[in-house]
Amino acid sequence: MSAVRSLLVGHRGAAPRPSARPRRWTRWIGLSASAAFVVLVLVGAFFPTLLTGADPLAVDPTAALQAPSAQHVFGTDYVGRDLYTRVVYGSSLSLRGSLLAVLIALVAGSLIGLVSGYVGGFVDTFVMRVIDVILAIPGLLLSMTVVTALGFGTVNVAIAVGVASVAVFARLMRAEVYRVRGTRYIEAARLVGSSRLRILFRHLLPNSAGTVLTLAALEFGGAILAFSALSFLGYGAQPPQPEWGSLVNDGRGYLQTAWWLTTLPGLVIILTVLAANRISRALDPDQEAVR
Amino acid sequence: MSALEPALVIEGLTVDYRSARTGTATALEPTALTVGAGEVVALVGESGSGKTTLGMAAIGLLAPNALARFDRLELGGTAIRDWTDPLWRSVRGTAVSLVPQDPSVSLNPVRTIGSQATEHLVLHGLARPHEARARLVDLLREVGFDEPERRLGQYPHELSGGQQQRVLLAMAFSSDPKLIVADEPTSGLDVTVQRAVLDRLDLLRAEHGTAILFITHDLGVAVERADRIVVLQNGRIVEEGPALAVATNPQHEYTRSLLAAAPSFASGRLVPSPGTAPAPDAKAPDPAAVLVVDDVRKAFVRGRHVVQALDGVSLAVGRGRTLGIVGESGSGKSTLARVLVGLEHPDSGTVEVHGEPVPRRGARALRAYRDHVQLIYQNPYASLDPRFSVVETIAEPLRNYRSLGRAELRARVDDALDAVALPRALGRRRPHELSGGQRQRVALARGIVLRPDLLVLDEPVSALDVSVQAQILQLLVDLQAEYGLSYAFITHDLAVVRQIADEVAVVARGRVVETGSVEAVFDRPAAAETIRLIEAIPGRRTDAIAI
Repeated sequence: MSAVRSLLVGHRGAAPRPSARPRRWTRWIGLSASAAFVVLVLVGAFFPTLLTGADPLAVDPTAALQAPSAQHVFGTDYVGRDLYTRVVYGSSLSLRGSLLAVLIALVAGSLIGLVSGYVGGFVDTFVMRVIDVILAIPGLLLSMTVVTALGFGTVNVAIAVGVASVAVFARLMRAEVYRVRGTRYIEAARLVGSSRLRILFRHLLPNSAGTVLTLAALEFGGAILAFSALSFLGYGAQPPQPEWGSLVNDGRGYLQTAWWLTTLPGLVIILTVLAANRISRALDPDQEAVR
Repeated sequence: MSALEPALVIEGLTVDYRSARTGTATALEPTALTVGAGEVVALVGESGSGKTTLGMAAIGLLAPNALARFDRLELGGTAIRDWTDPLWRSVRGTAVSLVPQDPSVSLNPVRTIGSQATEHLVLHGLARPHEARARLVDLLREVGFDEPERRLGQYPHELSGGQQQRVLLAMAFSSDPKLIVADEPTSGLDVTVQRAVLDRLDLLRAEHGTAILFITHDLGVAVERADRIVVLQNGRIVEEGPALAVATNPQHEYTRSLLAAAPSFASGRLVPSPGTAPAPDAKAPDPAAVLVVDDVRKAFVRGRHVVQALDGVSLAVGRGRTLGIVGESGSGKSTLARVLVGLEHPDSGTVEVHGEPVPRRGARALRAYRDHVQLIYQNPYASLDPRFSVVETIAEPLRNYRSLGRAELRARVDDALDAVALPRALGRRRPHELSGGQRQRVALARGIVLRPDLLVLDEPVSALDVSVQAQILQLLVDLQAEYGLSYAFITHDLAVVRQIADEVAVVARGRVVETGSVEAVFDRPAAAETIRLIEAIPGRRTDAIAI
């Protein structure tokens, strides 16, 4: 009906293109490139030997701080370890940690949002005020507090990152539940005698989950960043274990002399996050409808 | 005004819609249409016939995914080259305007009527800024507003649907256009309001000499209001001719079926299809009433106002009978439907099914009650879970109330599918893969699968095309004969009541103002509201001719 508005107000209406061809291929290039990159990173995380034959911990002082070359595509670090191999093996910790974090946030957040939205009343008000407080604290700060309490280590960092984004999932899930709760088909389900639990898990959850899963893909990118940031600060993987964030940190002292030590792992982080975002956008039903 | 110039000439118009999922679909085959100066042409057809596409093409407002071309397009004597022709800007809103289907979405909700309508006048050069207000007051008076000055300061939500549509009429006529495209301008409105808006449109047309391209699914309205009728089916014009000729002597098969399907004032009650026999588990006839509603009152508090939705309603539905509950929107009939199924609890009075009062509280008691009473909604698309397949939807009540084995569950679902004449092959589909009529059949199957005593039907056919509507009504009559169901059939459409109900109760302002057998109420209406509703039924002109 925006067409009607434009007619009444005098803007030019959406004139049909007489022979326009859908510009779909540009979209597909970006999306397939993103998907391919994420698959590559996943392969690196779970089957690193497929991508590199070298040992991430093998030290070779004679080849220290070499610039990227055919032999060492990402160069070597200050004790001569192959940076490419370390990035590949590092993806294992980074990715698994991020996946765990998103999983924690998704499951816990969705359950909180689902119950809060469906039960409503005082419970809903109380839960949402707690969520408000959590959202008011910067995510990284919250994660650091949690990881300090839990102790250092990659699993604890993953839990900390997950806990920090529980609030976002809970809030979104509750909004979706509120939307779905008022629909006719939920009322109809009640009228054909469905119990509260059945309505909650068979009607409300499947109809609210779509948007939340889209957020999970988006949060995955964010989780990689947060996880890397905490590792960069030294809360996560302990040396000599490779991890993206700690790799960037390791290279920090050589920024002037060996740019590749920070730049290349950083670039991999950026590309992974971008690819995850692109895939998340493709999953969003509203975005796709708009094209 | 060069009066002899035709208002609209279209030749060789074709429109395809492309979509990512289904590829390209043809909406209009090569089509030609001419609307003479001051002529009213009705485009009639069912959903998907291409009538709206044709109307929107006439003002160059097709959806962005439309692939359209034409050989010739003239608006009020101005020839237009293509869809991006800059001439559109000068033509649209001045030589041709649009009265849209749903007025509530066409007015900006955060601006007053005065502010948006004067903007329209100024932008189209119809008035200088300082005189726009005075001009608007004249226009609003012309479309029948009593206090036009007061309306200027009001927001759209403060006006009723009929008043909003009259504001849009005023804006459409403000430029004295040669052509107005009216896209189902009254289909969202009550019958009585619909009549008032159409009368206003007729009056303005006569005064301004404007041609009207009137898009409607309602053949009765078309015959009553148009000079000429163009019937579309599947993107093709199948019949075209003077309104009375098309109505009395239709040439094409499709027009005939449309005319036959349209419920009209003259039609009698539908009888069960031949071969419909009572099922073995049909409810036995029983002289006692299934449903007795006694002096039910219900009030809602809206801000500082108290709205008395139901103000002492009493009625009864007999076993195997149909009670038609008729009223305009706001009469309280939907509240009544919700009270009957226990979604709302009356403030006072009782609702009894088989002498058992509807439980006022307790989830378990309400659950047991709903084993006997089911509700069918107006819009099946909204009332079916989009993620449930047809079989899952129909099986849900059985899962909740009967503990059946897999095979027996499946057999009962198949029986229900057969009963509503849905092919079993559709069982795995989701609601969005079904047509409107099929969806309502699924909703009906879900409603009858428990063999309820009473089915409450809240406007079950008003969202459907006429031919589908006729099929669903026939299905309801057959199901009643087969299973001995009792219906409380809520509608605003008296013609439908005539086809399906045994008794009728007319509701107005939360009260039953008239009740009795259908024949008695229709032949000798006593209450003023009943008379008004009967007079508002479109298509009485056709009936008069038929008799």
